[in-house]
Parts: sequence; C-alpha cells; structure tokens
Amino acid sequence: MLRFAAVGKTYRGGSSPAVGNVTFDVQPGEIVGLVGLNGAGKTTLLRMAAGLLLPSQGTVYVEGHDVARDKRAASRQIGWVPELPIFPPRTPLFDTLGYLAGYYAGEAGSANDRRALLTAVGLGPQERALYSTLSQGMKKRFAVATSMLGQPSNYLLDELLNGLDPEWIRWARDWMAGLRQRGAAILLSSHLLGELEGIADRYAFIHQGQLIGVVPRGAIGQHLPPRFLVRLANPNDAVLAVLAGFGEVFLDQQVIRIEGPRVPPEAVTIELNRRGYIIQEFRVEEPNLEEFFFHLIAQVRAQ
Amino acid sequence: MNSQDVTRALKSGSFIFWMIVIVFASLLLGWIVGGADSAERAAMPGTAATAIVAWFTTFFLLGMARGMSISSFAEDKFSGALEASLVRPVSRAGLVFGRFIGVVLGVLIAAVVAAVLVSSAYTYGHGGPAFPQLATIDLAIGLAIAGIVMTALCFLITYATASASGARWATRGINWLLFVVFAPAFSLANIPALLVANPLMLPLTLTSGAVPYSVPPGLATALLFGPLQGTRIGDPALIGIGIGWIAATVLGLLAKVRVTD
Repeated sequence: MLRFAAVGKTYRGGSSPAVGNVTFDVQPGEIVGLVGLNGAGKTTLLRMAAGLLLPSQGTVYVEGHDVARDKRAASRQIGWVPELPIFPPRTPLFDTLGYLAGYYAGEAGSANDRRALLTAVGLGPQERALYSTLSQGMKKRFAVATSMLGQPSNYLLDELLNGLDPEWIRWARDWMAGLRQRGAAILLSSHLLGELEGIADRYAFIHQGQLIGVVPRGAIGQHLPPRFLVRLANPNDAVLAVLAGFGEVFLDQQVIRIEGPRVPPEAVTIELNRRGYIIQEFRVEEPNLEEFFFHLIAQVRAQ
Repeated sequence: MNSQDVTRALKSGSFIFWMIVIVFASLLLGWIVGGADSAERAAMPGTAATAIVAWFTTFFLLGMARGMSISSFAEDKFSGALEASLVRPVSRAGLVFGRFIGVVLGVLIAAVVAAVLVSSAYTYGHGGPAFPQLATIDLAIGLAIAGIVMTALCFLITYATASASGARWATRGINWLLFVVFAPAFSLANIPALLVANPLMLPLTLTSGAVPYSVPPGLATALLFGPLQGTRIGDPALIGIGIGWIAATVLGLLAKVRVTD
C-alpha cells in the first residue's frame, strides 16, 4: 500500500511548490491513474515515493515505511519504471540486471530467474545486448524487468505506455492487471487518458502541484452530467429550438448533441414523440476521463 | 553500504590501475629483456628513469582518485543511471559511502602495487637488493595514506559539486582543477613545514630517510624530487594528520548526504 500524507515538494530556487499538500493512497490490488498536464507534479510525486526525492513536507509511506526515514525497507517494496529509463549504457542487459539484483541480497532470485524476467519482457534474445543499442520501447521493457526484481508489492509507473508499440501496450495492460490480481498497489501516470480509463480503478487528478480530485472509475458521471445523442429520421431546423430548452444543443453530422441536460432522457424522447419526430437512435453518453479532467481544471481556474 | 556500490566504484578505476601496472611492468621488463648486467645497469640512466616513473606514481594516483571520483558517482548522477541504483533497497548514505569505499579501495590497491613495482624496479636497477626491506612497506604505506587522502578530497569535492550544482561542466572543471593544482604541488613541495601543514603532501617518503632513487644534487632536482626527500611518513604527526583528514572527509560526506536532495 502506498500512502501520501500531506506531501509537498519545493525545489531549491523554485518560486512555488512543485507539489503541495497532496494526500491520497493506493490500496493493495488497486491501480490508481495519475492524471495531470505537463509540469503538474506527477513525476515529482512518483519520484518522492520512489525515494529519489525527499519531500519538503509530509510523508510518503510504502507498506507503512516512511520512504525518507526508512528507505531501505520502503524501497524493498517498490518497483519503479521511469518515464525515460537510464541504465549503464555500455553494459549488457543481463549484467545490469544482475548488478541491480545484488541490492536485494538474494531475494531477487537466481540467474535463471533474471533470464526469465528478460524473457517475460521480450528481451530474452537480447540479454547480451548493450543498453545503448536498444530502441525506446525496449528500454522501457527493460525498465519493467528491473522493476520486478525482488517482486515488490507496490509499483510506480511513470508514463509506462509511452514508447511501447500496440503489442506491448496490450502486454503492459495485461501485466498490470496480473499484478493487481496478485494484490499489488500500482500508481500509473499517463497522458494516454483512454488507456488509463481502460485499466485504472481510480483516478487522482493533479494540477499545478495540487491534488484536485480522486475519483473512482465509473463515478465520473456523478460529478459531470452525461450528454444525450439523438438521431432523427425527420429532422428540421425547428427541432434544435425545441431541444434548446433541455440543454446546450449542437448539431454534428445529423447527430444532435445535448450537453449538460437539465432533464432526464425520457423527457426528451417524450417531447420529440409528441411533436412527431421519429427517433432513430437515442443514446446517453457518460463523459469520458478527458472531459472530466478538463472540467476539473476549468473549475480550478474559475476559482 | 552495499557491495554492489563498492564493486561498481572499483571497476571505474580499472583503466588507470592497469596503466600503472603496465608502465612499471614495462620498465622492469625492458631492463630484464635488455639483459644488462649489474655494472651496465648502474651505468645506465635506469635508476633515474625509475625515479621519474616513481615520481609519476603520485600523478597516477591523483589521476586515479580524480577519475574514479567522477566516474563512480558524478557521471552516474548526471546520466541518471544512479537512480536505477538509488531506487533499490539501499540508503542514500549507504550508496554514497559504498562508492567512496570502492574508490578508496581502488586507489589503495594501486598504491600498494605501485610501491611494489617501484621498489622492484629500484632493486633491479641497482643490481641487487640494495633497497632497504622495510622501505617497500614504508613506500606502500606512504602511497596508501597519500592516495586515500587525495581520494577523500577528490570524492568529497566532486560529490559536493555534483550534488549542489547539478552541472556536469562545473563538477568536471573543479575535479580537474584539483588535479592541476595538486599535481605541481606534489613536485614542488619541498618544505617540511608545508608538508606538515598540508597532509596532501605525503607521498613517496621513507621512514628510513632513504630515497630509492639516484637523485643528483641541485636546485632543479630539489624542486623535481622535493616530496621524495626529507619527510618521514612514519612520523606520527603526519599519519595523524592524514587520518584526521580522512575522518573529516567522511564526516563532511555524512553531513552532505543528509542535506542533499
């Protein structure tokens, strides 16, 4: 379990905190998607949890261990995949993996176990390849292999899906799902919100260093109204005026979109039927993660 | 502290270490293969060559301390590779001290090997075991203490610069500046008071007072071979200063590690 307790970070020379007073947790068997614009503080937050940065305030706990005070115990339970992985460039992959495994005092398994890790991320044939010769996607996959050393119970994945091809994005999705099933806590930052929507159990939204919301998947609709999509067999100009009373109306290639509806769906269909319009299709569409994120940001900016 | 970091730092000094071995081994081999008898060897400028090569040992060691300090920590920090280690179950202090110990060990091994090679070259150059037996040990101890002192200084300053500035050019610049400043200082330091005042001036001195080189008299020689004469590494004061300097460095590192982010 990962817990951020009033965590803040101000860099030396920084005019404002990169991260300020962030509190949330990631439970065992849960994937939390960390969502934010560039410079929002996502990577800073992950690096503090990884023990690479010391918080200026607050505490990050990993399985109850304070990362700053009890780093060895905390790091033992952390697997980290950085956005841009960097390893010794002129060292064969297998040797680097062996070197890093040495930090786990035998808990990282045998040489065969490490070979299995490389094979799992599709780098078995490249075990003697130098890190500098790998493609961006391969480097990411190697970072994934190193994150599994010692079988930690918490994972910090910074833009894991960046640089991976579709085949390996699917693999990464399955890998995360497998970890979740085994009870791991995963904090995953990504700009690919569509991907996050498919895998995360909760979303933590961060903007300008502040946590602006933590929302479970499926609960976005409780915070943001759905939209209605209507396709009519006999549309005319008057229908837009009729529907304008129910919300903000847009016409997009024969599909009428009612944003921010002020009435339930039945009210719209009843009214359209009463006026003689033939409804070919009527859908209630929940807002997606991206829309909810921008809605949150707009709210913050308005404040 | 983790053996992984010690090993990594040790490996970073292997190039300079082998340079030392090759230079001295070549010198010995040249004489042996050349087949000169003892009279010829005495007549040859071999002993002077030994002296010069031995004199260069200090530069090798200083260069090794400098190079290892940079490559074992600062370069990894700048490239980002250090983070791959730091995210593992290791404390910050453990990682820094592991690498520090690795660098010290590397310089220590090089110092002992160099001392043995220098004394062997001298012995062979003089056609027999004229070299005082204890002098080899003295030489080794002198080089070792000097090496560790130099390493401690280099590592502390390199670590502090790398952590504080975060700039590769600044760290490399200061690291080279150390070398440029201290290398001539080694050769020019001929005043015992200066040697006592500055523990960095310890190398290549003998408890016996003997100097394993054929050093002709003269001002130039005195300047060139200054650190080789007149000071005894067996002096408790000098050893005390050396150990004190190392302790101060370790404390400095500890303090720095705690506040460094």
